[in-house]
Amino acid sequence: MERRKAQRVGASLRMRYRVKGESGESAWKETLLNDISGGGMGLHLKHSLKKGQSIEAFIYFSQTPEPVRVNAKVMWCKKMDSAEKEETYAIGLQYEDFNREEKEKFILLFCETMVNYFTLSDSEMGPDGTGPEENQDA
Amino acid sequence: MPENVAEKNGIYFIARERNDLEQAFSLVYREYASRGYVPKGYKSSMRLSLYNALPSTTTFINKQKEEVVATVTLIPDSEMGIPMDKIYKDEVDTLRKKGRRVAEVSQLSIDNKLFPKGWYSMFNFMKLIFIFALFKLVFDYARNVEKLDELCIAVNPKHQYLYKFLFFEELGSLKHYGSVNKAPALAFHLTINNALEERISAKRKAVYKIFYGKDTDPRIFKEKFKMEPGDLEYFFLQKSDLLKKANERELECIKKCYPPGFVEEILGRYE
Repeated sequence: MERRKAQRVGASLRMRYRVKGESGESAWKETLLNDISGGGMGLHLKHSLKKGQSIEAFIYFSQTPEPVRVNAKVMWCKKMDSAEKEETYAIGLQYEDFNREEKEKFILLFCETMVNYFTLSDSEMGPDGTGPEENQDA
Repeated sequence: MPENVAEKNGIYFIARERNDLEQAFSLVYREYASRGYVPKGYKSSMRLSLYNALPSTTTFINKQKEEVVATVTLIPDSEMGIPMDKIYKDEVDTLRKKGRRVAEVSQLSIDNKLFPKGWYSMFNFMKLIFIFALFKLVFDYARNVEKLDELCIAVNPKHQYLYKFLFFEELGSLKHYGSVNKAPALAFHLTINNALEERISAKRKAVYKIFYGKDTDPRIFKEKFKMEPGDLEYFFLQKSDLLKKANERELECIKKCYPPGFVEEILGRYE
């Protein structure tokens, strides 16, 4: 991967999320992100989501155990070619809004994740590829 | 710098000739004007201040193909104070009273042609690392050459996260800054000491690597441009009217930096 030219960070961050629908919210689920950027995030799920669906999520950055709360919208959902029996969907989410406090937390944590990702060598990074191992509290 | 960003993105150095400063001041003007930061009636196509006439003021630039595409200026405290004293004097005085050596980071500008429009700086790695490379020069100059204790800055609140990311702490609350057309401003300061290095080293490996990993070659700093009397006349009377508008106190400070009688003589010629 051309790590240093990409603006998306291929960080396997943990995310807890629920889908908001007309009939209420789904149960909370947990997944790992495929990538994250300043505008949205990508993930792979075993089920599809509809374009336009709203998601409430908590993103767990490696620098702190306290997650950042985000609201996001499904921008696209594609079934992936896979040899596995279970279907997998690639999903793109775009952030919708942050409150002021969450916005600051997100900007600073994302920025550090991005700088770590593009600056540190693999041996300096933690196992999730988001930052130095000694920083990981979560 | 990671991946030799400096080599990939032009050359970073200290302004070492009049043309470097002229290009830097013109870049600041263009960028400030495009954001509405230039007050009405401002009569120059360069953005500079009387602080640029002081020998202690230092301008850093990035050049690509002989063109200055980024600049930032460091203004150590002097009898004239620092520019942000205009609205944050009480706040800066709290640092002075502690005996801290203070300087203001000012006139940061990057040619907007360099990076895609619509990209927020904090989400654009290349832009961010470009800014860090410029700050690295300022940081090394501040701690290794000027031996400063505090870097202060007044910034538009929309840029506050960059400084928070770089360990700057809030010094003053929201005010409106006349010299940038009454744009909103927040004051921040960075205390340069061992504790800062320890904090960054313990918590922020990448930032530590960028700012403390390798000191800037000190030879770069020795090439600093020294403003001569002719340059004072050129920038502050021919290209702007700043010397004419200077108050008594400012004029006294400037006079001390140039040959006796020179400031009076050139002012007389431009009456």
